[in-house]
Formats: sequence, C-alpha cells, structure tokens
Amino acid sequence: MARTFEEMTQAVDQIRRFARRYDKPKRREFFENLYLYLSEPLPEDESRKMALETKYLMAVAALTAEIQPASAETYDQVLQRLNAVLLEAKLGDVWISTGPKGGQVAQSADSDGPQLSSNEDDQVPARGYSLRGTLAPRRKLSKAKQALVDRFRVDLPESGRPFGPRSQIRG
Amino acid sequence: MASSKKPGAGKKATPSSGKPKKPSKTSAAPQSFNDEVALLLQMAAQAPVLTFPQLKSEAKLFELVVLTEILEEFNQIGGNVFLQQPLSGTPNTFAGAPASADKHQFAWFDLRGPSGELHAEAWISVQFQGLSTQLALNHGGTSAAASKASRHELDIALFTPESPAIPRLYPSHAEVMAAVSVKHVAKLQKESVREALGFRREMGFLRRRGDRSYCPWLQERVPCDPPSPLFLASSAPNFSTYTGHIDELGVFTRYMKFPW
Repeated sequence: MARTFEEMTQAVDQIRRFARRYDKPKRREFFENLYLYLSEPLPEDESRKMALETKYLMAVAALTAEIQPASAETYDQVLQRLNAVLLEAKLGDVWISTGPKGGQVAQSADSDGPQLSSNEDDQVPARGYSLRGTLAPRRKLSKAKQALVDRFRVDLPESGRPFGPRSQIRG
Repeated sequence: MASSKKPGAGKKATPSSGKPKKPSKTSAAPQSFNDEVALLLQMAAQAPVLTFPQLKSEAKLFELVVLTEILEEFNQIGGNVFLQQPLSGTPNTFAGAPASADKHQFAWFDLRGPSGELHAEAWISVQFQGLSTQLALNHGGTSAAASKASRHELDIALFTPESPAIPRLYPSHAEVMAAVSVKHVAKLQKESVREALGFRREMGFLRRRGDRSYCPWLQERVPCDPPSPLFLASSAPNFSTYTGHIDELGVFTRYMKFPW
C-alpha cells in the first residue's frame, strides 16, 4: 500500500474525530462503532505500524462500502462468474427461500431405512425473494467523486485466489 | 519564562542549505489527502442507509462469491461443476436461513472428476449434525440428541455424495468434506473466530500432525480427524492478526475484497 505512516495516522485521526462528532440518528450506530474501533490504542511495539494499517484499511473498507455497497450490477458480475464455472445448465435469477427449511428424515414402518417425510412444512408453498431484486441499485457518483472512492478502494488489498492450494501446517 | 509568541511565529521559511529535501515517510500528510478523507466521510454520511433486506441480500451475495471461488478452484484441478435444480421446488432457489439439504426444495452443485465420478455436493446454508450428537448417541443418548439444537448451519459446505439408499437431510460431521463460515463485515469480530472454533470442534477431533485433507485442492493438510478444512472467509481487511495460530486447530482464514 502506498500510504505513508503519517498519512494513515492523520486519516485515522480525522475519521475518528468525525465519527465522534457525528450525532444524526441516520448513521449513528455505524459511526459509533467506527469511533470505538479507531479509539482502541495502538500497541507500542513493533506491531504498531501493522495495527495502524489495519485500522486505516478497516475504516476505508467501511466508508467505501457505505458509499457504494454491492448492487444489482455486482450481482450480475457474480452470476456471470459463477455460470462460467458451470458445465451444461446455467443458474438463472437466484431465489432465496424464506419458507420451509426442508423436510425431515423419518423412519418409515414399512421400509428398511430412513425416508424423506412430507411433514406439514412441506405442504406450504416455498416463499422467497429474488436476490437481485432486493439488492440496492448501483449508486451513481459524479466522475470526480467516483475517482475519489476508487482511489481509496485501491488501498484495500486484492484477494487474488483466496482458496488456492496451500498448506499452513508447519513442521 | 514562557514566550507570548505562538510556536513558529516570526520564523522565516528559509532554505537551510540549498539541498533538496527528500520526501520523508514521517512528514505530515499533504492537505489534499486530508481534503479527500474529509470528502469521503461526507459522502459516507450522506449516502442512503441500506434497508435490512438489502443488507441481508448483500451478505447472501457474498456467500455466492465465496462459493464461486471454491468452484473455480475445483475447475482448476480439472473437475467439472454441475448445477442441480430442486426436484420439485422453484428453480435456482437457495436457503436463506439454516436449512436441510433438501433436494426437493433447494438447488445444489455436483462436483465431478474428469471421468465423471461424483466427488462432492456443494450446498448453501445447510445444517449438519455435530460430533457432539455422535458422541451422545455412542454414550447411550437417545435420538433426541439429534435434535435441532445439535445442528449447526454452515454457510457453504461440501458434503460427501448422498447415497441413494440412505436419503439424508442433515449430513453428519463425518460427511462434511469442507466448510466455510462467511462473514461480510468491515471488521471481523473475535466472536466470529470463536464461532469458527466451535464449528471446528463439532466437525471432528484435533490431530497433532495434519492429515492429507479431504479437499487438498483447497487446503493440503488439516490437523483434524476427519481432515475436513474449515475456512473463515471475510471481506474484513483485519485478518492478519488471526493467521498463524488458529490454523493449528484447522481453521483457515481467507480474505476476499468485496464489493469489488
């Protein structure tokens, strides 16, 4: 990350002061949490710089996500990526079930093993919602503001292939 | 005696030696940067607040992102992934809350090897029967031990393929091949780490030396019996403090930048 220790120190301090002064009900909880986290003292040992960087990154992640959360457009990108992995049938508009949680396994008297029962829940039609339909629409910003948000988001580390094979067991 | 002058007052900004100064790493941040932080704060304060359903959907979308990463890794080793639609329910439906692996209601993914053999089933928000249930039954407990309270929801799980002869809704801990606890948060709380350690406990026993994993393409060795890797995946960038110790217990942290 390109930010200097001094830049991060000042940014964290500035964000903390803003969060402390924020008194509107709209985002009070968000800024209270931010303030509490940024007020935790930094360690005095060699981990000080890393701890400061973590605070800075956390604050940037929180603020930029408040400004532009995942949207229906993000969903489209995710679905495209997921479908690129699938052989044959592709995933359509994703529905999230809020209805019955699934059937029950029951021992049937006239069978040798467990059976899927049709309990009362199973008779209820599944309820659900469209995942895309409930996401926030993409928040459009002016060119200058978008460039500003992007400059901060660049500070957040890229995750590459987070599930690539590796062994973390030592010795 | 204290001077009445303000610090720095009366001093002239004169070049000291004529030598150009190196930009110091500890010099004050430029005003332009402070202004940018101020603007960022202002924009965050003025942005519309997300509703609860929007927040919930964002978290669910992040689960799909994590699942996609896992399926892409399976592709990388030559595997093929097949979408399986619910046998009688609405197509493309996933559970939104702790649920069973009910193939009639929910969609899932089959992970097949290059020659078509079924390796695993990938599910979202399915509960499994923990090790404690098995131990209770081994020690003379009744089937009441296998109740709702003894099940735990895994945000993403790979299970061993279901045997056609023995239908299952709640896979046992021994049938979990890999699991992910997904947290879409700005700051990872310690309670999330404790929760993952609880999952780990319910997924098997600790072994001193790591065995080859059930899913070496995700994590080569896992110090547990059964050797099913458990991941704690989060969009929080404060992960570094949790690596290097909980992995000794078979919990592996993964950071993922999100939203992109």
